[in-house]
Amino acid sequence: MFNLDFYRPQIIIFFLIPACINLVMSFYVILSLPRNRTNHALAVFLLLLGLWQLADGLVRLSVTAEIASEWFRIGWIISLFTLPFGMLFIINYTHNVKGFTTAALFLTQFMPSLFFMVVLVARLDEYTMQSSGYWYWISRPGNGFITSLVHLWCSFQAFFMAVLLWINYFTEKDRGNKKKQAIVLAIGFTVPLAGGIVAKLIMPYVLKVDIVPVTTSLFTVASIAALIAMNKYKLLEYSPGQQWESIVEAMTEGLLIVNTNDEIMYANRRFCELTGNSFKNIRGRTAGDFLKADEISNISLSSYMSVQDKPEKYELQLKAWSGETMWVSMSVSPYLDVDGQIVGSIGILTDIDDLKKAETKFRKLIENSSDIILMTAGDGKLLYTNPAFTRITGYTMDDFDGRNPAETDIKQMEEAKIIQQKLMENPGIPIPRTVNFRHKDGRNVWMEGTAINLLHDQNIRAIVSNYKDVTESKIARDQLEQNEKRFKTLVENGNDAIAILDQNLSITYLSPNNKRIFGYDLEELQSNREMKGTHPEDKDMIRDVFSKIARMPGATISFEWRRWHKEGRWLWLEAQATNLFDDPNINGILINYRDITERKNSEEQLGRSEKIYKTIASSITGSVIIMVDSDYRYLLVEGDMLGKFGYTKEALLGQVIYDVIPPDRYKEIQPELERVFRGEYFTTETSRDGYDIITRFVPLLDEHNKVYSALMVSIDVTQIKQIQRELAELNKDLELKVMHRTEQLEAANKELESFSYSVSHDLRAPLRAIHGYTQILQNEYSPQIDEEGNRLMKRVLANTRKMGQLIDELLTFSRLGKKELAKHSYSMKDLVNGIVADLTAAENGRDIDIRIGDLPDVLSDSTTIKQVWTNLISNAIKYTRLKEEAAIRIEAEEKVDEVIYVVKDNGAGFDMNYVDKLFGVFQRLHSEEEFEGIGVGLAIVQRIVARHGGRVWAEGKEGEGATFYFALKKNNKQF
Amino acid sequence: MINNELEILLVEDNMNDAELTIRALKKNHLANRLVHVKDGEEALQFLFSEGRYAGRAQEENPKVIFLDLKMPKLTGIEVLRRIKSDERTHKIPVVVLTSSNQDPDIQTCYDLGANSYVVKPVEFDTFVKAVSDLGMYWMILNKSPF
Repeated sequence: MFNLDFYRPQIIIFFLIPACINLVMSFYVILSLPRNRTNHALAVFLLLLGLWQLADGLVRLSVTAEIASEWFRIGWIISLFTLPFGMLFIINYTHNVKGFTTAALFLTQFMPSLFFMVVLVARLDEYTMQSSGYWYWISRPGNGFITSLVHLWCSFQAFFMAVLLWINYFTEKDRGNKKKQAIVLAIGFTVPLAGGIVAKLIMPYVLKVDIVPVTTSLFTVASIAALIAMNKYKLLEYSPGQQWESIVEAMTEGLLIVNTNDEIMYANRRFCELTGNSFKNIRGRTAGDFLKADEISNISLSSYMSVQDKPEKYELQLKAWSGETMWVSMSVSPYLDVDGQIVGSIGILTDIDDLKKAETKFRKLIENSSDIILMTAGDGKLLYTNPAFTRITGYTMDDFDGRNPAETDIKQMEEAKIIQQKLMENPGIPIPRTVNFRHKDGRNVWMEGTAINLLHDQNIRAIVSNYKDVTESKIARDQLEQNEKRFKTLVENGNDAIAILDQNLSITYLSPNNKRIFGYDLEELQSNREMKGTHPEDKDMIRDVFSKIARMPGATISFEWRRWHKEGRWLWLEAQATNLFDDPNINGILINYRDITERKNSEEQLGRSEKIYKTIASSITGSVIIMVDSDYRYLLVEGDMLGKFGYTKEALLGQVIYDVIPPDRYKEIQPELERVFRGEYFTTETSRDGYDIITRFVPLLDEHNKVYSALMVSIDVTQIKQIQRELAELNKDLELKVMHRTEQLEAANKELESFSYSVSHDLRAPLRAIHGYTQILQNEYSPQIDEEGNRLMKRVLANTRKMGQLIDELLTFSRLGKKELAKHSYSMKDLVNGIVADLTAAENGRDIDIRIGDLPDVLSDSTTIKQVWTNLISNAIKYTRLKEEAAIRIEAEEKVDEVIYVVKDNGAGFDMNYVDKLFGVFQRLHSEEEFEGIGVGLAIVQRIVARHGGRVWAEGKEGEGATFYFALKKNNKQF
Repeated sequence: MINNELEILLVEDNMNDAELTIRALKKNHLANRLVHVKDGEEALQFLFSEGRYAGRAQEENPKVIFLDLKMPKLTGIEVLRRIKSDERTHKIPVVVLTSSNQDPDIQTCYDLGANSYVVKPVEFDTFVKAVSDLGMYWMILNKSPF
């Protein structure tokens, strides 16, 4: 049945070596790793795994099937507990403790194991051991149920463990090594699981091969993975322990664990939040990367520990990921391993940023205060001063070296003592104080403020004083007093003199400048009685003013009066009297007055010039000048016309218009007055009592541009009007005459036209007959007539043809006078080009150099202008016929208001003496033999251009050529 | 075309012009059936078969009328107006004869419905050609409304 060939080194390799490794690792975990639940579970798991592998190995080393069966049974029992401990480790490691309370764990893991152990120990199962191949033993289930159940149960546990590890891996938030640990464990446990499935399910049934030993050995992979995870990534070493981790993670303080190299091994969630980093980024960096002792230097946590080995608090600045810094308070304590060795430091950080900022704010407030803030001890020793103290007094804290500042000034000592006592007696109550302090440079400084005893306040334990520098306002007060003095001096020496009278109207005060005005000494003036020196005419008025003002408190009355000057002349004075009996400072009538003598004199001068104006107004003959005020009252009435209307100057002056003039006349003038008082300037024409009058209304404006008066200047224009009327009459006659003449002219024109029309018609008929019959004669009878007869007939025909032309031209010319011209715009250049082309075409055989320059367009009648160009150009062509090299230039010159067109040739030219005959009808300067023509062309040119409002002229020299000009107006609206 | 049909009515007071015109037409064999009347009044009498021409058959209208404008009594314009305003004659083509192409009456003639006009030039040759061309056109080329 069984084979003794099984003893092989392979068995030692596959079972005994892994078994030993597991056992050694178990001891290592127990001895070297921190003693916690996870590590304990791991150790037991490794121990049992080792034992199981050992038992499995011994099955293969058994001599008999019975012994193999016993080892197999022992191995099985061990394996029943190996998996629950593995599960215990995994549950602890993956933090899934919550779901598995001790009871639940016992029930789900250990109870089935115990049950199966009882079954196995009691040998309630049945199986047979068989050798397979030459070195395997395998069991063959007898009654398959229990055995299958055990198999299934173990497989399920192994599978569940792997699932838990994979879940842990996928749910593990990225915390660096922890993730690596998770994957190592997950893979490590999955490898033997997969091997087990292959060995137990696939190999025996499908391939009939036992690879159980291989699978068992693969469990070593799982244990090695577990050890690597625990050791290499040192998590368990520095972790606060699973049971504490949730607490640590939930802390509101930041927690940091560093090793002795100051490398961060652990940081809780709060620390990560404070720095704005993930743990992955933090891990492995030094504490100094995040914490600063001051603005510059970074700190080392372990260096703190070397100085201080009991927990100590520090205030530090924490650098966040964003670069911002915040204030934290940190307590540092050593991190000990299980042997009590210092393996690192634990830092616990509290956010004190707000507190720190508030502190800074209040310090700034105090340090930037313009007022002095002092803290002194109970004995008066200086504890604190703010910078204002130095600024105001010149002293610094060091100058006093803890002494009482009052000691610098003996004078202050007494007072300081009294105040000190007062403060001691009244804790918490502010005591006001004014201090005259001597500045370090010797000058006086005035300070006002309060001191308060806060010795009883736990946080302060000092007397707090604050003082304001009032030195400047003190100086300002002194200044004010000085100003008052100055003002008084000013009043006494100003232009306006002042007198104050009492109830009895006797003088109680006279300003010193009275002497300057009147020439008398003040005593002389003061002793004056009965208004001596006042102009006799003004005395009553002044008495009147005083009696009035005395009854009106607060009122002011202005008046002018005359007083004698010591030097013997009258002064004019302008005065204001004010009742100031109510004013306790004055208690009298205040009179101020100034010398206005000069002004008065100029006013007199003004009166004189007014008189001059009046004289001027009255001496304009044929005029009335009237000025009325807004009540229509006559202010000025001058002029010699006044009498012609039955008024006198005296009767009108001072009267109101409607009281004086007849009502119907007033009705006429009233709207005009209203107009002028609205500010209008205007002129009216009226006819009254046989006089034609032009009146100019002028509003007179005051300085605010308001009409205060109306000026009416009337002038008699009767004679002018008469002349105007006569002139109008004459004009009317003239117009009639012109109309009459025009009619006559038109009639004559018409007559002439119909005359020339019928002449041309009726002249043509006999001419036609002569020509016609002669032609017939020539056509039909020329053989019968001799040579001379034929020549004569030709002459007759030529002459009748000529006369026909004459009549045609004459007709054209006469019709030009009445033809309507239609102005429009067109291209002058195109027009001339066309004409030149037509004319030169008829002259083929001749070499004519015609150059056409720039020709600006002008609004004109193209039909007739075409005629002009045609006549001028054809003339030029005609008169250059005898020249070998005919040259014709057509140009234009643009002027401001007209365009001058020029046709120039180098032809026969003409004598300038006859230039005025050039444009006459039937006027010729050349004989018919020289140049054919009838002398109408240029006359037509002149007529057309004249009808366009333009002009025509010519220059020439006999034998050298002629230049013809015609100018057309631009913007020619009318022809 | 009936042989004895009237073809041209020439209205011309100037005997010289009349003779020259007829001669010109004859040269082109166009004056075979031509009636010459001496003034406007006679022309109207002829056309409307009145007075001297009371016996004339109204239907025998000329194929074309050559009408001088400047005539004593009734002028050419008036004759034209009568011809063109009467439905018996308004379809007869009228060729106006005038002394000048600048005549202001030409426009009036066209307005009244003249079909063509010819200027009587001083030169006889030109005149002959103008008259013959017109005669040709109206007699031979143009299809008569009758």
